[in-house]
Order: sequence, then structure tokens, then C-alpha cells
Amino acid sequence: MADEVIVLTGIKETIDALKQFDKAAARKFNKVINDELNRAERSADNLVVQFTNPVYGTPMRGWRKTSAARPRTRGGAGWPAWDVSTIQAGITKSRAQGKVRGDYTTSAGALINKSAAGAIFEVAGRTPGSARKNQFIRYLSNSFGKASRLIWAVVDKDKDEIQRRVAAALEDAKKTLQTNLNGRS
Amino acid sequence: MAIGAVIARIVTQYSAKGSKAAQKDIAKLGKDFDKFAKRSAMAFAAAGAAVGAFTVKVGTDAVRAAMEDQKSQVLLANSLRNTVGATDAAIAGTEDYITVLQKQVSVSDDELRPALSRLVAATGSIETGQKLLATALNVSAQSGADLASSSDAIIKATRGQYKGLALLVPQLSNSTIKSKDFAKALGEVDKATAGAASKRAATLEYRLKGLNIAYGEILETLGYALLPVIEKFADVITAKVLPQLEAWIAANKDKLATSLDTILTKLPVLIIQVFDLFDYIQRNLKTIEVLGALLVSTFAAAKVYAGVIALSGAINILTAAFGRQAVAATAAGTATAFATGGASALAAAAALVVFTTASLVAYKQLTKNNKVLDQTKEVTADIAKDYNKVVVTTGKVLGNTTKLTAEQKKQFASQEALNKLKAMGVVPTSETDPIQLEAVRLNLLKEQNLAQKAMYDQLLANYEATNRINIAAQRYADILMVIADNKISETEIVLLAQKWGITNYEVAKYLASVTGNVELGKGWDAAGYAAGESWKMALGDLNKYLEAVGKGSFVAPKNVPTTTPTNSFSASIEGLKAATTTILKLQEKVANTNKIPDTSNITPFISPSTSMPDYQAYRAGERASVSVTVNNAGSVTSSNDLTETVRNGILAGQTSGRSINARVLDL
Repeated sequence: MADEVIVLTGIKETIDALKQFDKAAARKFNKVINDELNRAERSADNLVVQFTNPVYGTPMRGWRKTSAARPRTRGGAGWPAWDVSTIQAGITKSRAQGKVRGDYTTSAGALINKSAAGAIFEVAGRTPGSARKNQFIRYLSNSFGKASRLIWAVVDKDKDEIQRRVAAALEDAKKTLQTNLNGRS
Repeated sequence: MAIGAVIARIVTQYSAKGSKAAQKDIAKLGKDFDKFAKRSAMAFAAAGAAVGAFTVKVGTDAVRAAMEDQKSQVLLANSLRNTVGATDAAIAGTEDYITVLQKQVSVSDDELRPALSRLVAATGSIETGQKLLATALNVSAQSGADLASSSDAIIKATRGQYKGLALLVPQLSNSTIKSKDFAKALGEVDKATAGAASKRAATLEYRLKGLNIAYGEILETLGYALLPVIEKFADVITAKVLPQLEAWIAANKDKLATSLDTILTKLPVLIIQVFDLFDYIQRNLKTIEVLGALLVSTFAAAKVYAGVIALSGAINILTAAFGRQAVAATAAGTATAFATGGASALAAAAALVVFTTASLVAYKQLTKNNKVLDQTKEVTADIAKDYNKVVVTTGKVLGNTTKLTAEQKKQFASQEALNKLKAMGVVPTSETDPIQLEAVRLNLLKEQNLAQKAMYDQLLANYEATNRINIAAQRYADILMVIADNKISETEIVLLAQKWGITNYEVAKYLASVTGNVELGKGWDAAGYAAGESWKMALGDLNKYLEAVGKGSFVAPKNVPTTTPTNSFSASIEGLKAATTTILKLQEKVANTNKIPDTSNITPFISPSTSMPDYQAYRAGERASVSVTVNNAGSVTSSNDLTETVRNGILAGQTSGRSINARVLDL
């Protein structure tokens, strides 16, 4: 997980302004962001396949591939089954703005890991100290690395490059906007 | 299973929320300023107070920031001048240094200035102070302590106290601390904390803090721009407006007082009419508001008294005309009225009322507030009260000229006492002595009280008698119910005793006294009474015998109940109880003679009896031939007699219990 966050300014404002003056430029800028997010999403999807053992069809031998018939744990729903397509479908991209909680930043693009099995695989062992006690977490960490194994792994790996490309596209969009404004004035 | 989605933000953008909030603050500041400007224009007389209110209001925003910044600057400059004798150029350079530094490390100048001030004071050099400030910033960033604590720790270290600094910078070696070599210690501290403040400033948190600081600078800049305006405004109010107002009052106070005095002393009727006038104005505000200018002109043209009289008529006329008037008075017209009224007030004391009225109308239009008129009405009412006081005082003065003599007072008191006595229907013996009259009156009151007490006692006795009658009636009814069966049982005695709240013997005595035909010893208590009487008779005989033989009377031995009437009666009661119990048992036995016996105490059937009846022998009689023995005894004279005799014989011998119908022919 990255320690620092690069905060881009004026994404929403630039897009809103571009929609008024140059819709093509707005679409171009949106396409840059969407492409980057799609690329990250595909990387996360590939990780799901990569972590699935071709023999067992799951990351670990004991992980069910179907939901438990008579579940008794985890609130009655049972341990979530490992289904590659379900987990991949649960990995989506979002451009929704989150709430601003006093830090003056909000999301302009994010990956979301929605499925239960995917979320467990993503964050299991994240709590300090739990990895030593739990065999599942220990095996998971030894085999697939520490927590943040799917979408966060992609973000940690590619975030800087993605942000650089989005920032470059934003600068281009701002220049286009300024050109439009200059032309109108 | 509810497992929350994991979200990984890739692109993070700046939110305009914070900047919009700042924009709102600035916009609000402008609105507040506009409001204040309008308010100050309207509330001209309250301008001095409004300055304070305005300062407080604006002080919450930019002006406060500017004032605090200004204060901080002044304090630092003063410290630098006092400690190191800094020149204005050096102070300006220090301010520039602070400005640059706060942008670099994202620490506000309000924190930097006091820290620098203390460091300069401790070292005696601006240059050294600035250098130590940089070190303090690094220590603060490294340790997490605030800048003031870090600065204090360094200042103490310059004096040889390294404990605080060692706590903040653990890398500081013990040998250095023991050597108390500040230069060496500073070198170690710089080495351990180098670049900490810069790195901290590069973090998101401090970059955003830097953003806030930048907004703060903007507010301060705005505040600095506003400060001269406010100061100028305050100067105008304090230097020009208030002195003129004071001067006007000082110049005209005598005239005002004289005018008021004239009005109060010579035209008391006018006050009442003015009071009525304001009351009328209060009720016809709308009309007067529209026709204010005309009213003022009416006042200005007439004498005060005549003007008021004319005004009364004019208001009525104008009120009627108001419905036909299509044109309303304008603000300019009212302002003119205000000005005219004010001039009149200065010109002529008698026009004070005009001024007051016109001012009220104008102020009403400016403030649209009825409170002023209410206050004026109250003031006028107070004036009217003062006038009433004058009248009362006059009455007192006049009363003093016709002082009552002592004799008249006495007569007056006597007459008063006589009136009280007459009201009570009494003619006193001496009609001229109030003391005696009062004594008579009090005596009468006392007698009245005694009579009243006697009446109360009689009523109480009457009530008690009535109560006793009621009790007797109730008891008589109870007795009638008890003796309905012509006898009184012990249970009934007990029940009556419980109901009446007395003992059984008292019930018996009461029954004997009430019924008359029930006497003790003649009815249910005969046995006890007889026993008691026999004991008395025996005792009498014994005493006679003892007297005859010269032995004296019988003396009951100790621990043996004496023959007092109470003991004797107790014995009778016990005997009575025993007799009653016996009678009840006998009655019960007789009553139960024809009753089916109570089977509750019979031993239930447990097992078949071992000695069964000889059923075969019993039934054998049915099958056997019946032998009938007929004993004629020589009394049969007819066939019927014979039949009857045979029948009786059969009946005597039959064992089945069935009825037998015998006919003569069958035989």
C-alpha cells in the first residue's frame, strides 16, 4: 500500500468545463481515466486466475468451490466459495466521489473488490498478530504474500504510472480548456 | 455473509469543499459589512455601540486574523528591539524569514514568531535564534512535540539543562550531556533530526496544513485591508460624531430643561393632552406615518397649546381624509420633517413637543419599530404621574393651611367609634369618650364571643345527644332482629358485642335495660345468676353463723378471688357459658336425631367381606311351597273375616316384601 497519495486538482472541474466547450476533449480525458482503470481491473482479474491452483480450482486445497450445503459458520452463510468468475465479476472500477472527511481529497477513480471470497483473499491477515495464530492466514501469506493480494497489489504496483498518465491527460485537458477559453474571450 | 467491499483509490483529487467554505466566509464577511453599513446609517445615535459590535463580528473572520497577526508581529518586533536592539530593517528581514519559513515547513507564523522571540532572547542574536529555530523545527517534527516545547528544550540546553532535549532526541549521547558542550550537543541533535521538518512538510497532512495556512494568509491580507477602514470609521465616530452630539446636548440642555419646566409647571393640561395625543398616535400609526410631514407643519405653525388642540382636530380631519388620499408621504418628506422639527427645537422651547413628535414619526419610519413609541408613551405617562404628584403635593399644602385641631380629631375618633357601635345596635353611655366607647365595644365583642361559645357548646351537646339517639336506635333495631325468634343465643350476644364495641356482659345488661321483659337470671343466664345468688345467700348465712358464734365475718383467704360483685359475676358468666354449651349440645343432638348420619367419618369400603350371605338358602324360600298357618281363634263370623285372617297369616309369613292381593274366590 502506498504511503503517499498524489492529489490531482481540478479533475471534475476540468471535465465539467470541457463538457461545455469541447466535448471531444472531455471524452478524450475521460477515456484516459477509464482506460487506466480498465487496465488495472484486468490486472486484478488476471491475478485471480493466477492465484487459482489449476488442480484444485482454488488457491488452497481445502477451499470450497461451491457454497456449503449446511453452513454453520460466518453468520450462517458459511465460508464463501472460491469461484473465479464470481470473484472477477466482483472486481469493478468506480469513478464515484467519496465523502470528504476533512482531508480535502476524494476519489476520482478506484478499484473495488466486492465478492466475499475475494475480499477475504485480499485482506486476510491484515490485522497485526493474526497471521501467527491462524493457520489459514499463515499458509495464505506464505503462498501468496501478505495482505493486499488482489486489487491493492495492482494499485501498489501500477498506481504511480496510472497517476502519471492521468495527470498528463489532465494537463492536456486543462490546456485544451484554456485554449477554448482564450478563443472565446 | 456480510463482508464489506475493499476499495483501492487510484486517482485522488482535491476537493473544493474547503476552499468553498473559505469563499463563503469571505462572502459572509462582505455581507456583514453591508449590513453594518446599513445598520450604522439607520442607528446613527447608537453608532458607538455598533462599532464594538461590528468589531466583534468582523473579528471572527479576517479582521480577527489580521489583528492577531498584527499583535504577533508587534510582540516579536518589540522583543527583538528589547533583547538585541534590532533595527527596523532587521525586524522586516525577520518577518520575511518567518513568511518564507512558514511556507517551507507548513507551520503558522503565529507559532514561529513566539518560538523565535524566545530563542533570540535566550541567545541574544537574531542569526543564532533563526538557526536554533530551524533545529527546533526539526526536533519538533522528529519527536512529534509542538514547536514551543522543542524551543524551550533547546533554550534550557543553552543553560546546561539537557534533560528535556534528551527526552525529545534520544540519540543525544550521555557523554555530550555530561560534558554540557552545547555546540557538540547541537551538532548531534542536528545530525539526528536533519531534514525532519522538510520531510514532514512534504506529507499530505502538512501540505494540507500549508493550504490552510495559505488561506489564513489570504484572510489576514483581507483583514489588513479592512483594518484601516474600521479604524477610520471608529475615529470618525469618536472624534466627530460623539463630540458634536455631546456639544449639542451641552449647549441646549438648559433650554430643554427650561422648556420642560415650562410645560410641566404652566401647562399641566397640555401634558394630559400630549399623553392622549401619543396614545392616539399609537393607535393611528399608519395614518400618521403617511401624513407625518403635514402634522409637523401643523405643529410648527401653531403655539404649543393651540397646536395640540389644532392637532387633535386635524388628526380627525386627516384621518377622514386619509381614505381619499392616494398619495403617501415619502421618506424625503419625513426627513424634512425631522430636520424641521430639530430646528424648531433649537429655536423655540415651546416647539419641543413638535420636535419630539416629528422625531418619533421620522424614527418610526426609519426603524419601523413600535418600541420607541411605547417608550415615549411611558415617558409621557411618567410625566403625567409627576404632574399628579404635583397635584397631590398641592393638596397637602392646602391641607396644611386647614389643620385639624386636637378637639376635632377627638370628635372624629369618637364619631368613628360611635358609628361602629351603632352598627352593632348599641348606644354607648358616654358618646364623647372614645376610650370608654372602645372598652364597651371590646366588652361587647367579648360577650358576643362568650355567647357564641355557649352556643357552640349547646350545639355540641345537641350533636352528642343526637349521636346517642342514633346509636340507641341502631341498637334497638339490632335487638329487634335478634329477638325476632323470641330467644337470644350466645352467638348473637357475641355478634352484638362486636358490632357495638362493648363486652358481652354490657350487651346483656343493655338488653335487660332496654327490653324490660328480659331479666338477668330469668332467661338464658338463669344458671349463672342462680349460682351467683346462691353464693351470696350462702355467704350471708355463713356470716350470720359466724356472728352468732362470735367469730366475725368471713374473710376470704389470700390468692383466692374475693366475693366482689365483679368476681361473682364472672363466676356467673362462666356458669352461664357452661350451661349454654350444654344446652346447645343437647339441641344439636335432638336436631340430629332424624338426620341422615354424617358419612364423612365412616370408614370407607376396603375389601369384600369374607362372610358372604347364604344367597342360595335365601332364594330357596322363593321356590319352596308357602306354608300358611291360620289361627282363627274362634272370631271368624263371615267369609270376609276368614279371608282377612288368612291374608294376615300370609303376610306374617312372607319374606319377599312383595304386596299380596288375596281374593276370597281364590281361596
